[in-house]
Amino acid sequence: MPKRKPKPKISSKTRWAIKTYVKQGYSANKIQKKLKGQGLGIRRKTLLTEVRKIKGKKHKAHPQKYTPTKYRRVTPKARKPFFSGKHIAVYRYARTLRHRRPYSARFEFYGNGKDLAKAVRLALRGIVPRCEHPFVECSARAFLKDPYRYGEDGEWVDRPNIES
Amino acid sequence: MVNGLTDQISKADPILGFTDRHTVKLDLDEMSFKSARYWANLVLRKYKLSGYIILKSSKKCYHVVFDRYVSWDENLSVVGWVAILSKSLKLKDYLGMQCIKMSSTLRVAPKGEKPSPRIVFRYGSQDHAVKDFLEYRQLIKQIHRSVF
Repeated sequence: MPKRKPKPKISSKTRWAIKTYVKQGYSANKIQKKLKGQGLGIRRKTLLTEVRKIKGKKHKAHPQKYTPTKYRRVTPKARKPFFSGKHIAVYRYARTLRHRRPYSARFEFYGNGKDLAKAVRLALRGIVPRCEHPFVECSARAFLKDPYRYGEDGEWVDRPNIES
Repeated sequence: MVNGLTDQISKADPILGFTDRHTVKLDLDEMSFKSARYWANLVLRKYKLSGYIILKSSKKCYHVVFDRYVSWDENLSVVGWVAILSKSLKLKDYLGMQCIKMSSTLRVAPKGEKPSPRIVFRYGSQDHAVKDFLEYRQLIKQIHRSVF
């Protein structure tokens, strides 16, 4: 049994009429009115598709742009990651090869649990803040990406004894 | 006569602590438990901080964490009020340090021979700042355990 062709949305008569009107340079509104007058009324959406097909034009790139703001379909905004303002502080005195004299140093990390754990481990392994910037506040992820941007190799030491 | 630094600098593990700006935290050193609880209750009533926990960090040293989140200004006001009224020099030092850093910190992990602070008293609501503090405390303890 031969496959049945899908029923065309518009009759050949209508299609022919539209083709003629487009060639005459009529606007979509005018074509619709003419068709309606002849008893060949069709949906505007179908008409516009047909007109586009005849003219060889594509859909407009950003149709939302032409819709007034209040009628635009609003897509839900992606939620920003919630930052609680809480940090894990890693602090004590530190010294490096460049600065043998101990200085008070401090990292303050924020981020998710996994990154925090990794960052703290890395800091404990012997990366200390530089003497020029001894108080560093940064995200754990950024620190893991480039630890030497925020500190340098050194060691954490006890508070120096001061005799007076 | 000032001799300056001696050569006795020993390697030590860094301290892990909890830092933020909106939780009221008191570091009450050289104070008995009764006094710590007295000041905590007084602050709780005056500033309506809804609840608190007291942690013992070492002998005669207590930390207090309050439950209601406050602004940084109010946070400083609370700590300053206690520091002045209690005439605690250590708390005044603590306040000064927090002002310099622009955030307040409490130790969570052990420090030298001192163990990590442990909870000795709870009062009132524990659902907001205290809850978050305890969650972070747990995380820091886990990290500390995995490293040392």
